[in-house]
Amino acid sequence: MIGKNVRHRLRLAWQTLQVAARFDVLLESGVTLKYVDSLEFGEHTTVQSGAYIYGSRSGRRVRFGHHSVVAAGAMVLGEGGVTVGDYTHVGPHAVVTSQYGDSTEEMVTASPKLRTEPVKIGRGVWIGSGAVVMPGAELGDRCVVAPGSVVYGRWPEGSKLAGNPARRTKALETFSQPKPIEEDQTTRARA
Amino acid sequence: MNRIEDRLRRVLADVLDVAPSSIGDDASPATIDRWDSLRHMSLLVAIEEEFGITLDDAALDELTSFAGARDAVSRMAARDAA
Repeated sequence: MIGKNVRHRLRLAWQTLQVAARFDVLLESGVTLKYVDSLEFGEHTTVQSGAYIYGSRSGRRVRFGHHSVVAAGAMVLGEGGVTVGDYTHVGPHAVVTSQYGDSTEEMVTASPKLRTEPVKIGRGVWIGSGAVVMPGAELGDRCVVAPGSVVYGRWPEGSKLAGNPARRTKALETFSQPKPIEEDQTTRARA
Repeated sequence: MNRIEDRLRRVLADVLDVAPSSIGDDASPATIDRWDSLRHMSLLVAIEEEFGITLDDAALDELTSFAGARDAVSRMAARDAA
């Protein structure tokens, strides 16, 4: 059992190094990356301590845009495919998941059946700490998700959401003014 | 009523990713495989967005079929208009 655990940790560490070598991404300590072949990071991205990013085994992509941040303790489950736009912040201990268990199938099993739906998160989106973005959710550019919210469904640009299930909230409108995101050279070069 | 029904059918078709013509009065989680618990929650928020309402507990209890959803939305829309 010890050997199994040591080999597993060494493999994860090696995969993390491979990602660091391939992309301009800052990976802080204690970051776990799995199925790294499906992961893509834009320039100047940061994955903070303790974050857990699980890629896809089924050929779907898990993409993080330029200057995006996955904060400490956050989790991204990418089996169904995940897109995180430029300048987007996934807050501390937030969860972005593109996979969920199929409760219509046998649950007492070592291999429960999964269903997947891709998640699309736009540019300049702020996802508050502890929020959960559920499979199939889509957030347009500059959306704000209050801490602890649970997001289902599709939301257009600039939506301010709170609650479970997350709904629009006027309470947050007061504190935000939509502005065009200033494009830097990285973004222009990419376009 | 028909306008509400048409809009509601479009919302269901969009969220459940099925053809609008396939959604009859008896459409429910039992008849549409994609109508699972996850999409049910997506449906709830999509209906609220489309009709500008907040579904109450009674409405949530009715949201088990297309016909039930139509009745719940019609009732809440009428209440809000009064």
